[in-house]
Amino acid sequence: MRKTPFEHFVQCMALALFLFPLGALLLWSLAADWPFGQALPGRFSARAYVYLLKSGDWLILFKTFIFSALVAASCLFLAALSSSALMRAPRRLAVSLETVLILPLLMPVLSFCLGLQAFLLNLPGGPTLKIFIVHIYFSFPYAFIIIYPAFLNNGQPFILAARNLGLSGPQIFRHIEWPMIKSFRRPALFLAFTVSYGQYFINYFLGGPADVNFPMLMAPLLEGSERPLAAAYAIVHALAALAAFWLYGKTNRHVTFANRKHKP
Amino acid sequence: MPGRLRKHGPYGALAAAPAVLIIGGLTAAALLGIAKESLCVYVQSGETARPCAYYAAFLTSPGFWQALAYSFKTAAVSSVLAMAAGIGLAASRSRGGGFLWAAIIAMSYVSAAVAMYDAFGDRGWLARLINIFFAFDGRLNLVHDRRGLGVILLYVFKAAPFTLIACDSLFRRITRQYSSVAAGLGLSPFEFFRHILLPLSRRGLLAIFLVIFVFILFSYEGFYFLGVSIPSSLGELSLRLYSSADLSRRAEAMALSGLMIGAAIICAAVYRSAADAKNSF
Repeated sequence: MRKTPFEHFVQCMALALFLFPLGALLLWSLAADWPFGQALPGRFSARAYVYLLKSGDWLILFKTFIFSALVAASCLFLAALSSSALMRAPRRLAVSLETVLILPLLMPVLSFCLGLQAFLLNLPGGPTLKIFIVHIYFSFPYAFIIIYPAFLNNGQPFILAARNLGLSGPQIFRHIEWPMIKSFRRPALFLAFTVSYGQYFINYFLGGPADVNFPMLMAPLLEGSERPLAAAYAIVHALAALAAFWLYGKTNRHVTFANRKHKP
Repeated sequence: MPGRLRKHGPYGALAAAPAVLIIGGLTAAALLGIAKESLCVYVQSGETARPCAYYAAFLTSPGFWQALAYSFKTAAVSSVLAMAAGIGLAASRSRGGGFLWAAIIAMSYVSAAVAMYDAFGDRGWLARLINIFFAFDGRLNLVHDRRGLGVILLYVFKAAPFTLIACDSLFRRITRQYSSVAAGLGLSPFEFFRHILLPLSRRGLLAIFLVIFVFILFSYEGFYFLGVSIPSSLGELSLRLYSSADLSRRAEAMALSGLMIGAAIICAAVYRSAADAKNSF
């Protein structure tokens, strides 16, 4: 069905409105000199990006990226396990557990961290593992709300057939359920990753000196009105995540549940 | 919805245990920590324990109601605008701009706040363009506004792509089932949207609205970076009380946090019932 002119207009207006702040971000990141009264910067410079490389802050970006990737992978695995279990549970128990598992979706981050701080301080061990678990707490529901419907709506016949052929629960999870959700893994990973990647308050309030992440570096730049630096850091922060997921999509494009190679 | 499989030995329960332990355990620990401090389990020397006194005093405090009004108004306006943008784009079958929406979702709230400040802040890009095209020399600053305009812009910017993706998946299911019948009966696209799409998807839209509204109502980053000191949001008020040099104010901060978490738990139950209806298509 072809789009009407009104639908084209709506789409163009929306794109323009949402592109405006991103355009401002890009211009400020490259502005060396921008007097008031000019629509575009007078001189362009990449000094903000050079500073990001020279100052060593790219290491913190890399560390944040790896940390969030591990959180996302853990959330995906836990979501798949939980979905597999909920499919086998009695309906009332499954509904109750599902409500518990999506609770972090609506949980206020600040209030949760205030209440949890004393408990975490009394636990043995360093803060990094504790921060990791709190990141999983808030990222898990975003993976779960994508993976669980995939379990419910796809592949129950395959699971029944596998059970009739004598496979155990872990074998069904490994050979049937995990490959079954291959096309849903990328959006689940993406959402869980972006939630963890952009977390500011958890690391700020509960973390130690080794838990400084990239959003914590951007905050003082924004408060100090360091526009070019803050803009460059914001662009690099978003592009790093997008580049990784574009690469992940490219490497996993041609393998689907239907044509995956059978492992003996 | 397809029928459920029968329980398959202990594997069924063990598989969900890690996630349930993390989510349930941390939630219980946070609630216990809040209850201990807000219900006066820890009592300072020379004082008598007064359970629930901090909740009662809090609810009669004008600062709390001012913060609640400011947070509620900002969250309501932001959520309605984000939902309108998401529904409009999804209903207009917008397929373009996929990379743009993914980029906005990938941005953190701090990055998005930087973008809002650069675009709409004092001497931002919008102010410069208005100065050039309309010869307006006045200071145009939509950020750090008492009415919360900068905060609203930030949350609409971040929430709209999320609502677009959620509404798109919701509308596609309904459109697949009813669009050919509606076309055969002579309905225009707007009539199909108004009389079929919206009514059938209202519970799903409620679930999406609830997630966005509760998130914005209790959030901290947007109000802190782009808002003003007075009025403060619920999150800012809670952190300010917790960080106060007067340690007795921590109990007030915990009382406020308890109220916020209690409201979130109630909303989670409402979300669950609305989402169950959404998945039934």
